[in-house]
Amino acid sequence: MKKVKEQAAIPLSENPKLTIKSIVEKMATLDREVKYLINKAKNWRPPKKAKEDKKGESSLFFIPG
Amino acid sequence: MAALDAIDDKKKRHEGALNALESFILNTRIHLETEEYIAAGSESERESLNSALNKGADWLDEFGFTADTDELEKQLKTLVDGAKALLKRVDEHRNRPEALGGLEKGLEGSKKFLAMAENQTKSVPEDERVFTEIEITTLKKTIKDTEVYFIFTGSKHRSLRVLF
Repeated sequence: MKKVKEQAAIPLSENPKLTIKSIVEKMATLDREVKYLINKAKNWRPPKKAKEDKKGESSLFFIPG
Repeated sequence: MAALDAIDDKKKRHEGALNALESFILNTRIHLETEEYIAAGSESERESLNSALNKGADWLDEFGFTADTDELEKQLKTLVDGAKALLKRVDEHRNRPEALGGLEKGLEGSKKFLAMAENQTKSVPEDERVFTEIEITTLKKTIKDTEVYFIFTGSKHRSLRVLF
């Protein structure tokens, strides 16, 4: 976080501490995390119970984006 | 025929190198006058780049038509190397708002997803939960980290759009 605060203070004529690369990396980390969970939700099936569950359960989640 | 082709190729390459050097000098001189470049470079940096370009232009006037391709390419490389840091900075400032905008959208989507995931977890018995507690906590933490990162950058850097 220190880098980010520093970037806000440095003039445009100096090399940025907050680089496009670092922003893209942040985005990728978040995206990876969410995609993993979305995928898990897509493949998830409720556990079989003694009595029959409804068949063909629909997707539990609205998938954003 | 092959010999003629080779001569032709050589000529083309020479012309290409000459054009590349000429247009780099011309374009960079024009760019250096723009607000974007003025903001992205200190005065001394811009002055030294400008004087390198002037030197390059003089060299071109004097030797441009007699210089061989290698010499032309070497001249261009020297000028490009000298301008690289400034060009990179211009590029960073230019693309930062869009990158941050993408991150903002990504954050919104992730938060919506987290809300749904938490909701599902709360509303069903434990054995019907899609996500483990660790998964939810990890996502929360990643969102929080990204948000802190974004908030610190957001307002300040979006204002740069006005300048450009």
